[in-house]
Amino acid sequence: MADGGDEMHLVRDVLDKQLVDHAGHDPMGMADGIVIEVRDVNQPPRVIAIESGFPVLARRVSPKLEPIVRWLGRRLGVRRGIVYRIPWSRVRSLDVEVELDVDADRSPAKAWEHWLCRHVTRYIPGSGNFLES
Amino acid sequence: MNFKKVFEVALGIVTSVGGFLEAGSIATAVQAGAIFKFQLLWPILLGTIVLIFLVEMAGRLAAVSHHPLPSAVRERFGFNFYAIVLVASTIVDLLVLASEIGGACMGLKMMSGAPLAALALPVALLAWLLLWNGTFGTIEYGVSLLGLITIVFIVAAIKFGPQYSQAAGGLLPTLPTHDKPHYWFIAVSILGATISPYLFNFYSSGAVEDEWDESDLVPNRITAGLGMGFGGFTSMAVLVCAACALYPRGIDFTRYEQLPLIITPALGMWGFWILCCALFIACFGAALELALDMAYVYAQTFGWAWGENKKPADAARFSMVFTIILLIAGIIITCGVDPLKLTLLSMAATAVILPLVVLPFLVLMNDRKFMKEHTNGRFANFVVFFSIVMASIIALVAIPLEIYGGS
Repeated sequence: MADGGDEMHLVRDVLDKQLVDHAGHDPMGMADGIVIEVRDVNQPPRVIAIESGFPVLARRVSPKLEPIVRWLGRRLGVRRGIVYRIPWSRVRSLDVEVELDVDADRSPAKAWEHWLCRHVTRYIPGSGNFLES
Repeated sequence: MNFKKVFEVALGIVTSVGGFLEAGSIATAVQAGAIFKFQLLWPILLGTIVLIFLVEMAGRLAAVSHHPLPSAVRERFGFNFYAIVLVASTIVDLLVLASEIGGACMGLKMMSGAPLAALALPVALLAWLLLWNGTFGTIEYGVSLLGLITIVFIVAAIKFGPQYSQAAGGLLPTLPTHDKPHYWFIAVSILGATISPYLFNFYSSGAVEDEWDESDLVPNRITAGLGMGFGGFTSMAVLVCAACALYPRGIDFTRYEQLPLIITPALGMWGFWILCCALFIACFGAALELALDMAYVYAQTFGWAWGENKKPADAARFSMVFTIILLIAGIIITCGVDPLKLTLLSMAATAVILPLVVLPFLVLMNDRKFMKEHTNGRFANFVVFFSIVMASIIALVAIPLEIYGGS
């Protein structure tokens, strides 16, 4: 899929890349993690999803950090500490960005953006908020 | 190049010159001139040469790969490496931002007599208003064009009529005859002030925001070379002014209030007013760039919507970063931290994180996946390698020098 060829290197071509939606190339986080399913002995492993969210990043820095970040997310986060998992079947193309067949505005990736618009920026003049009075 | 490109290049050069000076480069150059006369001109020259190369590379990376620097580094080196860079740059950029706000407040204080604590939050608020409502063009061109007022240092330096042959001698490194730890501490601080890491992110993010492509490579080279080159020249002029005005009288630079002394002997009272305006504009412009830079870094690291040309509602997290960071920096100065001490400390801290910032250039700029056929040549690689070695030595010596040589 990557580089127009058959070979793809998950770490080089997917991990830590910008995720964008298909319609408007709207940024929706980074490919923070890749989920691979290990199947029966005779079948090769299969990539099933891309993960995005602070708990995934915390796990990569140190597995001990992950529960702390998840706990903080549950207490304070808009996404309640839940990691956003995008099925691999939704990946449309891999180039400078990873283009996904999802609508960014309806996805958990923009939960914080929407929360800030509803609770903060709408009250500040000049923000261009659609909710701005 | 067509007329539009020529105009853009000219504007780019002018804004680079206008935006070059900031609290760190002014404070370190004045200290150097006051104590060591022209002897420390060489770190400004060296730092400027390295800066020209690195800024050109940051622009080339953005034009060819369409990646701003932070996202390219994260993609190539992984999050674990970038997390270290992120934490280190956050601390250092916050210190530098606070010192820029402090510098801008000192410019206003010298003009109005108002206390620093009363000025810090209004200055931070003014910066926030411009970022909230302005576009990238307003910030880059508007404020940097006003920054051309810093040419006053060149005018003053010429009017002082320095011994040019002696000044030229300072362009070559020489060993100090007195205050050895202080000499090296100031040299390190000058390098930290000149090779400002935030400039690379700011420049590359601006290039992506302006949708540069491979046709912008030549303009990028000219803008980086001439803009930063002339900018370094203004920094040298500050040092020459201090060497002519403070060194013969044995005045050590310990407070911002002494700054007019480097101008008024040459330009009189109107020089005082211009200097205060220049200090305010130079520091204020740098504060805008730094706040914006931190917003760029966070948004690009975590894949949020970003862009100074976007309305805050369309990039809410990006806008929140510069809002919060400006508030914290304003509070630091309101609490009564001495802006000059903070500036000198933050310049040494910048020097410490330089290897982390420069190392990725060596790999990224030679990676064909990012750079296609526009990878670095041998000489450019030599400059980056030299910068990494120099930056590592600086990082090792900066902290001991801070203890033994800092004022």
